[in-house]
Amino acid sequence: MIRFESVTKQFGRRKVLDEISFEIRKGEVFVIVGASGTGKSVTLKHMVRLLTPNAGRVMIDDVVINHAYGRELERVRERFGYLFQGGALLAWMNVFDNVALPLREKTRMGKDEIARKVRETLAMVGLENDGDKMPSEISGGMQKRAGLARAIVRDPEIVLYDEPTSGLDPVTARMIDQLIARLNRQIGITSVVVTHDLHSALTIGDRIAMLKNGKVAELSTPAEFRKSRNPAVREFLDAQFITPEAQEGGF
Amino acid sequence: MIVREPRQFPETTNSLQNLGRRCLVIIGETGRCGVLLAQSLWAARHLLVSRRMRRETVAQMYVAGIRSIPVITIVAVFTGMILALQTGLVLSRYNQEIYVGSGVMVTMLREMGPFMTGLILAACVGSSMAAQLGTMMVNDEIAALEIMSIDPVRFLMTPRMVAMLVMTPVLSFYTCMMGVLGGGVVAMTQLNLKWSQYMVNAMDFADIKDLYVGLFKSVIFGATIVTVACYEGFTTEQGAVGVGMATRRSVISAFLLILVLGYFVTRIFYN
Amino acid sequence: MAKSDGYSNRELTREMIVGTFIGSVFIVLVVFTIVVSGSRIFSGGTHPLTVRFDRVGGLRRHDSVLFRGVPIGKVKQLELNKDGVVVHLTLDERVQLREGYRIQAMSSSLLGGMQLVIDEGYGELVPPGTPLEGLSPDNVIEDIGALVRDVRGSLNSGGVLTNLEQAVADITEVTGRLRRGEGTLGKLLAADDTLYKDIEATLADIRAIVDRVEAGEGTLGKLLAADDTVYRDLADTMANLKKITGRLEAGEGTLGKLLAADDTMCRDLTDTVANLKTITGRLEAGEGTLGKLLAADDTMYRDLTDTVANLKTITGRLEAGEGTLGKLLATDDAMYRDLAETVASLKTITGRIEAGEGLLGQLMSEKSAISTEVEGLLKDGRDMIDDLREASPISTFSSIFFGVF
Repeated sequence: MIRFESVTKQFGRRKVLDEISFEIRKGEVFVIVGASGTGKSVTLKHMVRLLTPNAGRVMIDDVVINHAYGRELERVRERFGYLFQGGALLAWMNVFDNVALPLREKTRMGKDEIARKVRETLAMVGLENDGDKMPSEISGGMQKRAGLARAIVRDPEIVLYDEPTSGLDPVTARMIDQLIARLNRQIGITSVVVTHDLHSALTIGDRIAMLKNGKVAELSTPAEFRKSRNPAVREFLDAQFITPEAQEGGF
Repeated sequence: MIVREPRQFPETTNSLQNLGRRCLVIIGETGRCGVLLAQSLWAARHLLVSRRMRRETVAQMYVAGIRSIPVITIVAVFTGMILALQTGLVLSRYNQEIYVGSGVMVTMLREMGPFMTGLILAACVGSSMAAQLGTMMVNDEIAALEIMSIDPVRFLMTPRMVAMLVMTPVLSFYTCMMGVLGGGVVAMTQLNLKWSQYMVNAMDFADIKDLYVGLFKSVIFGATIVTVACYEGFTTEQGAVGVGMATRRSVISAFLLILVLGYFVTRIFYN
Repeated sequence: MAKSDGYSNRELTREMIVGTFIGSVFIVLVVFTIVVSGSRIFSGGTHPLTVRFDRVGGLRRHDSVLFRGVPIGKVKQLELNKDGVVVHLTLDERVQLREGYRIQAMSSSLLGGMQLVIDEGYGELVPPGTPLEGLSPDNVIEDIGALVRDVRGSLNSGGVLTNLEQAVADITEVTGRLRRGEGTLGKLLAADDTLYKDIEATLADIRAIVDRVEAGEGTLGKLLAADDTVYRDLADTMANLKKITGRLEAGEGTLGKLLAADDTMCRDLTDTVANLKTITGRLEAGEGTLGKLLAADDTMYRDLTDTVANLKTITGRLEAGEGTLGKLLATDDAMYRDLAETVASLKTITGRIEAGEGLLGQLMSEKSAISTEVEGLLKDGRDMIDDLREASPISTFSSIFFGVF
């Protein structure tokens, strides 16, 4: 569904992505892990053309979006939901209006229909009673869930999660994980999750890609990933006290 | 237009290259500002159909205009008082204090009104605009808008632009009037003129051309302030530090541009 | 949550505030525009005036319009058209122009700046709606040149020569008659009764004054009462005067001869005495400086003492034949003739001046070309100086000040 072909991205003289290639299949939860600064978020941003590759191709369903523009880009982006690290809620609107924003701006839905849809989505992320609060009045976890609600309110095919659990307490983090998994299972949303939280990755991921030095160092299922002999993966796993013998799906 | 990737230039080895690069950067920035301005004005057509956008514009008018009134009033009144006092002191040497009104009126209409308004709005509104957009940029809010296919220029910049284009002439005229009133207070209390003498003289020298050139100038200033502030906001990088830098740059650039453009507008109309 | 899509109260309030502010400023702007653009809907009472000029000499918008020296309006607009400049004025007062009106741009200071001066004229009223013509601005140097040309022209046209010839002829005739002349003094005593009466009245007045002096009234009275040196001085003076008049009566000296020779002297003397009478009458009534002296004030005591002393000395010296007047009183015939001729010439000249003949006469009389020019020049000069004094600081200052913009 999403295919990267030898995508290279340079910021100045620094190569952030160095000819990486992979494919994300429809309906799976694809997790990208890696240390900070290894280009995880950059990879994600390429999928919606927030960034343009210096070389290689980014394809969505066989459409190269490297130079998508205007209506064409809009049609591509309509298929995506994007959850940013901080939730990226507009500070001067309350939660309800934030979630309603894409519907109001980009659809012809009536006022009542919008209200119903927004309440439904807020209920899905557990914020049904917090619609009239301002983003500054709610916690980081709630902000992320509100951001998620906004990302999915237009029923996208693909949702991109940028660090969905970072900065959250473990309980809230697991709740977000469950949410991602549920969305994937119940609605069939293809999910791409960028995280450095391996617990989360191993729990929700169908496949895990590990980035190191701008390259895909490992691409495998959680079980294989856990047992990988790749030193980069090993180092990463050890840092988070994850052993190959640990149980799968232990949450 | 939203720039997420820093422009890269080859490493420079001497100051001449550095100078050349700076020139290129400035020319490029000027061009992008122009494009940004054109985009925001073009997007103003949506005002005709979008009630939400109109409401946002009014909200921005409130923020940019009404909130600035206290500062503008104080600055305008004291500017008028200073003008009246200084011209009055000179004129009283020739026993011509009666002409204070004309001095204050002409100066306010032609230069001080739009100029003071422009500087205050650049400092108050432009800086907060740059800071707000910069913060949104850093917090990925702009990116979120883009993902939602909501054009940030239309959604954020156009209401601010339109609000500013409407409010600057209004505020500029308000500044003129406040300045003239302030001058009148000085004329009455310090220069022993009657209020009516002062006003008659002031109105006698008030010229429609001065007034409307001044208002036109203030519109130019308004567009400049919003363009610079939004450009700096939209190109913010590197988190909170970047927001601070963007704010600072927007104020400096707006001040300089107001001075320079003010001169050229004057030059065009009073050749 | 249900409210969030509609207007919140806060939003509504903001919109109201923004609307009110913009609306009110806009209304003021409209009013201001209307007022400034000169549609005098609100102030009323201005009078437009349009004048055509050949040249305006740097007149500008907003320059003052002066009528009898009073600023009554402004230059509103200047239009160039193919045969001159059309100047639109707005005046606060209605100006009634008459035939011979002058509307002229003049410099308001030596440093520059112009103003428009309206002179209403003196003839018939100019009917309303008549196109008004303004004069081109003056060039002072040019005007002086014209004046000099006029003077030279009148000299060359023989007027002055003729005048001189005439004057010489008159003088010859007068001196001839003087030589044949009858006695003035005899006529003075015999011919005219009124002179006698006048003298009598004068004496009566003098007596009244003397009485009051004797009674010690006024400065003079006090003077005489307190101190008799002044009295003696006066007495001596009188004595000297008596001697002089005695010699005059005997026809001695130039003055004596003068009195004896000419008939016209008689009338002059009569008039003089009549004048004396009037003067003494006014003295009696306490008018004039001397009258006041006699009546009230004694601060002049010392002044008068000195004066009388001087008078004594002078008469003494006259008697001794010293000084010009003394010599005049002594016997010298040449002086007599000179004086006679001079007087005659003077008479002729004054007569002719009065008749308006000659250059000087023309100068003194009204309505001749030169005198009008001179008058105009003087007037212009005076106007200019007045205007300079009145308008120069501000026009200069304002032109410098606003020239900056």
